[in-house]
Amino acid sequence: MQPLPKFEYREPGSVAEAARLLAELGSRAKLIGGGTDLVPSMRQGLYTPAYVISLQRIADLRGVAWEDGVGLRIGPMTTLREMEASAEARARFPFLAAAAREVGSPQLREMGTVGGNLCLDTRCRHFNQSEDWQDCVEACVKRGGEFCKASPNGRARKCFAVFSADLATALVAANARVTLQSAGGARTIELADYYTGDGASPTAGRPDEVLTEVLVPSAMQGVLGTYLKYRMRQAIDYPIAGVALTLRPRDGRVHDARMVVGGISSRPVIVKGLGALLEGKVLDETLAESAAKLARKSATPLANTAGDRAHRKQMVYEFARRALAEAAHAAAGAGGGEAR
Amino acid sequence: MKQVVQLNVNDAEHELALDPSRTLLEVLRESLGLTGTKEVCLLGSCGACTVLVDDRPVLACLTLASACQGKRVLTIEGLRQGEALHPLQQAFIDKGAVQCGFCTPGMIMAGKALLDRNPHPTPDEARAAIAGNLCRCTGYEQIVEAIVAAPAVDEAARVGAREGGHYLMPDMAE
Amino acid sequence: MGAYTVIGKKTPKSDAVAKVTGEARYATDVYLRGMLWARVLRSPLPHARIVRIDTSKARALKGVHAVLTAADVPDARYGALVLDMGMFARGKVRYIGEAVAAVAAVDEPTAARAVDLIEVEYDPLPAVFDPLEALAPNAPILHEALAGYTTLFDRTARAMQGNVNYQAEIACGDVEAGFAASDFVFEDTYQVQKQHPSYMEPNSTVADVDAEGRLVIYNTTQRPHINQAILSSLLGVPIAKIRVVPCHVGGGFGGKNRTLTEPTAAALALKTRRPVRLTFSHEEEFTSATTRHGGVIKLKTGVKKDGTLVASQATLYYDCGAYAPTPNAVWLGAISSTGPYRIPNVRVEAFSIYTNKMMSGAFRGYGAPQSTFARESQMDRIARELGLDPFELRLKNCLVEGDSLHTGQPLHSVQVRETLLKARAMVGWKGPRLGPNRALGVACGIFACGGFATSSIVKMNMDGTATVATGAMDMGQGLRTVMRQIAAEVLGLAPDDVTVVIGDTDLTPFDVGIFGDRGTHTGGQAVKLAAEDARDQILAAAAAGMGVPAGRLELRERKVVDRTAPERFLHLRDVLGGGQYKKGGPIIGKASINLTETAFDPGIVRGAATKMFSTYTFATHVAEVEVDPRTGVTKVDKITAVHDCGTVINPDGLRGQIIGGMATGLGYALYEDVIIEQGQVQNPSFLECRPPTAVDMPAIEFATVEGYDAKGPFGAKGVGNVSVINIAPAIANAVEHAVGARVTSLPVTPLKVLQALGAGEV
Ligand SMILES: Cc1cc2nc3c(=O)[nH]c(=O)nc-3n(C[C@H](O)[C@H](O)[C@H](O)COP(=O)(O)OP(=O)(O)OC[C@H]3O[C@@H](n4cnc5c(N)ncnc54)[C@H](O)[C@@H]3O)c2cc1C
Ligand code: SF4
Ligand code: FES
Ligand code: FES
Repeated sequence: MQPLPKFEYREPGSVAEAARLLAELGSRAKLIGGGTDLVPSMRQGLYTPAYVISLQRIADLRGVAWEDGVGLRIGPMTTLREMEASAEARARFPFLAAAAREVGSPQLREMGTVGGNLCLDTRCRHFNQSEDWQDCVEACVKRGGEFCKASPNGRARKCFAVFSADLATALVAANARVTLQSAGGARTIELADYYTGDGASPTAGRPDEVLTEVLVPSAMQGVLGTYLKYRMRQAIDYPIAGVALTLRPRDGRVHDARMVVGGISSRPVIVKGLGALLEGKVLDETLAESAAKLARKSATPLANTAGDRAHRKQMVYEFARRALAEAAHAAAGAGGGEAR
Repeated sequence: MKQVVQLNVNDAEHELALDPSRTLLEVLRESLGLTGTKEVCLLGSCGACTVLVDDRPVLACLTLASACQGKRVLTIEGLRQGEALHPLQQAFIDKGAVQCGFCTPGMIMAGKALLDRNPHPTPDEARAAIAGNLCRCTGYEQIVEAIVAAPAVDEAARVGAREGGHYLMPDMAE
Repeated sequence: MGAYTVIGKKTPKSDAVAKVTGEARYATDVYLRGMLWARVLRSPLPHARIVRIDTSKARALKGVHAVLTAADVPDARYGALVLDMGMFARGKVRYIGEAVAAVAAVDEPTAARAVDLIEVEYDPLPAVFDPLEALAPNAPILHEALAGYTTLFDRTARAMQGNVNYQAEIACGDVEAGFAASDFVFEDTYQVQKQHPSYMEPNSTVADVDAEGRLVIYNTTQRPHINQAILSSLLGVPIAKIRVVPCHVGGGFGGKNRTLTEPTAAALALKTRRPVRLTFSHEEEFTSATTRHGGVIKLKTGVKKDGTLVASQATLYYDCGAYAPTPNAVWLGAISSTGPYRIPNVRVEAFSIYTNKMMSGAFRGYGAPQSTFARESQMDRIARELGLDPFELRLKNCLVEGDSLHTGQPLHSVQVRETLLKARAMVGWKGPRLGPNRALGVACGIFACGGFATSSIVKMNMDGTATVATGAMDMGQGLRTVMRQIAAEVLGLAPDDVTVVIGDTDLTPFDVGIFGDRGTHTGGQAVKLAAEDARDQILAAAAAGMGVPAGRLELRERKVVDRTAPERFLHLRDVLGGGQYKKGGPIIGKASINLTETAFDPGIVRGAATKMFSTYTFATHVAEVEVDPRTGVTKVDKITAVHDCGTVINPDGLRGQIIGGMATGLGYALYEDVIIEQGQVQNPSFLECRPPTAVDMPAIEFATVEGYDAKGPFGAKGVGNVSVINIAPAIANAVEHAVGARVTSLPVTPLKVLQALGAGEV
């Protein structure tokens, strides 16, 4: 078998050590969680880091725990399987466990981590190809070239590769925050702000930073959530459209609604104006319809992943409608628990 | 630079000097000669390379061998219980779940991981457990049946569990 | 049908233990001492003249043992009907992924580096990607010298012009008069995609040169004897100096009825005198192997008010890519294009057309899924417009025993009607609609089964066991086990008493390769005849010893028994062992057969790729689907299959074949599509080409109908191909009944469903 490009491998025992290594090696190094994203890309020659730094021996980075007044703390090295099976996650935010379960396949969830999912590279059919394949074509923006081949006239100088992580989309809807640590210190930002929208450089994380914690704030407790994923096959496939919704039903009315569209753009897209549209209102079909139209408007897929563009847009609309219908239904029912 | 890695594979300890860029799949097949684990897509999209690492089903093509330092690796070659086949292996034979056999090692390892956690799975649970393992030959039906039937495989009826038939030399007197 | 002791009984696969333990050795598991690794330099352009190749830098690289280009190998071509392909591109490249040069080096990274060092200067040529455009008078021509290529079929049809490499015409009755006499004429165009066989095991060969200078090939193939012949002609090495030793085959489905890695590995081994391994990368499987033919099918059918089919005209444009390793698929498509129906006036024109794309070849269904999709989709349209029940329309027109096909071939063992009736009963048919957005769809198909040359040897061992040798390959479909059963049945043995040696060209007699449902049917028949030959010799030998006429003796439970007095018997081992020590031996039974001996009537068929097939298999499939009219997503909940397969030899094996075929059909219907843009495959992996997973499969019910094929062993026929061909039309038909969306191109994607529904926004 054709080996991976050569690299040195390190397994720091603490976050501090990892941060020190990153400070020293800079962009010559790549962090690895479960490797389900990084290893295939290295196999295709998309990345050739001189150092691969694994976080697997850092026990602090693993686990899901609830802390009153703080929220649900998720270690980035928690595997997706642990996330989907976590009693805390399932009890408090079942839609997050469900979103984790939507990823790839059982083996990928066993290996893949929450951190890796949040830091997933963007995907594009012009990019995720072997070196041999790339040799037949000119380099696009994400590979250091001038133009984006997926853009409508092929002349855009920006990359639109697609952010295709399931759990990340749901976590943005859950108002999650992430902590990034470097040798110089730590910062905590909204997960939504972690994404730049630039397919060539999708996260605001610096090469010397480790994502050390994901936090779903305790204020989110009791929220209703849904994550709906569209993929062609019912396993293995990445999402080619995904819709996450959170809202808080009170007195038969909607509060704090937030909808996020994934699998379409270079970032999880928060549907603008949806919260305001629904705030304090009774969620009826007409309202849901208008909200779903907003979602559709925010979805601007390019022909750079599987599926048909027009259809993926339609799926966002449809899923938005369904997510709202489910929420309305759940809200009308026991007032909380039953959400996917 | 090579690193020395201790691997426990199928209960045997190995100490190997490895280039860190080598995957577990390469080491199993090419360094240890354990070719039962199959190499197909190398992209995580077929499941043919499934092995158990510390009892968890993982894709050997995406696993760095160095990352398995000190861990227990179980491959299809390590599944037999003494001479006898593992009940799941026997169930695959009994249910006609094997055609070309190229997906079979990965399927069996994924199935084993399920049975270890859930000794009496339903057909739907079995299906979900092998959702990451492609098979082009069988349409999966008999594989699902085999996983569900494995717990009930009669110990004594397993290949290797009994004396094999021996042919007698012909009577040469005539 | 007799009462059998082994046939039809549950018999575990003889190679299953090796496969569940990981011990089964496949070609990719062969690692020889001193083995070199080969890698191929492939064309980055769809069509270009090769101006210059400079391999000097690659040759100079440390660790490189050989570099080969077209200049280093004999100028020889190979193919199935048209010998159009060489080992390497010569003079020009015709598709992205075509082999231009190959390297053998000490390890894979070195081989890869060496390939990168080969300099090739190309002069791009205009390319053509669409089969219909390739027919245009001013289209770029792929093979300028086509007319001079050797062909192995009757060229009386207007073949071999422009980009048409093979063409067949079938004409029976008077199709124009038929249309004139029809009450309605339906004309539709259908489009089908390229589907990859997606066998799990990649193409791979280890070629070795032994101490005597013989070439030994360890490979994964459906046709070892043809590989041997092709290697001989490409390399100029006598057949006696080539041994092909196929390993266990990790799936083939027609895709390994190819010779792709063998010649290159062999040429490099001969050059370096070292073992050389060439294994396709996963990507090469999707760029440089073969897929099912995509293409366009035009279908015009004339019908009476009451639904009687009167005339049919089909034009098949199959896109074979840059070379035509198996244009026969077009011929099989032409045969299946009438469906299993009796149509008095038929005209079929079928074209295999070059385009600058990866090659098309054989794949399960072999030309028939395409034309069956067209035929069965149109049958439902006819039923709907005439207000007839889809089953009734099919029952009214289906072939029956004694009918002839439009090719003029008389049919026997025709149970299509029975499959329709049984399927209808199984689904409790009360019309297609089951409820809102939920419906059944039916499709019915015919596939040519069996034929061509094969042979078998049955050697009796002195302990009473038997060793069967056959050149017909087991690619996992279980042929080994079926043959074991057949020999055991004839010889009065248990299956375990029979060992089947398969494929090794030093040990097994000729077979042309496994395709067209011929493994069990034809390969099995040869084993049966050879076993009978052995049996007759055994009985004759025992008759002398027992003083009983051979006619009174039979083989049963490892004994030779006097039928009239069963207490009088000899142990087989005594007959064989004793006889052998006295007279030498062993007893060897053999049989060589070709069940395709009759040529087609040239008045009806022009350009036939084959003689008449041995027989035909039939099946009816019913798909139950639910379609979401808002998303266009089709969910297949259940497929009911009824097969006419003659006698069942191995029930588990049969079931596995049928369900496996359905899975492939499901992928063809809904997901799989090798997307090619400007000649480049856009989705060269399982991840993007999407063979169905376990959780995509519908519930399955299947049944067989009683039947007996006089030419098959114990009356058996094949099922491997016919299990695929009906699935896509059954699903497309169900989709229409569910929501009123008729999709005439595959795959049936949600967008197409929505567009067919006239949904505004999409
Ligand atoms: C066939 C296939 C199908 C897939 N299908 C899906 C799918 O359906 N849905 C989906 O969401 N994903 C899918 N994935 C992607 C992937 O498996 C998951 O997203 C997984 O969660 C990634 O986690 P990982 O730990 O394996 O990532 P890794 O590969 O280890 O890392 C991914 C990236 O994140 C960076 N990184 C990892 N951890 C940190 C950290 N703590 N701090 C900073 N950077 C970090 C790495 O440097 C790397 O760039 C699929 C992958 C494959 C191969
Ligand atoms: S979106 Fe454009 S720039 Fe980005 S990877 Fe695709 S083609 Fe390249
Ligand atoms: S080879 Fe590892 S998943 Fe395909
Ligand atoms: S048995 Fe052949 S791929 Fe599964």
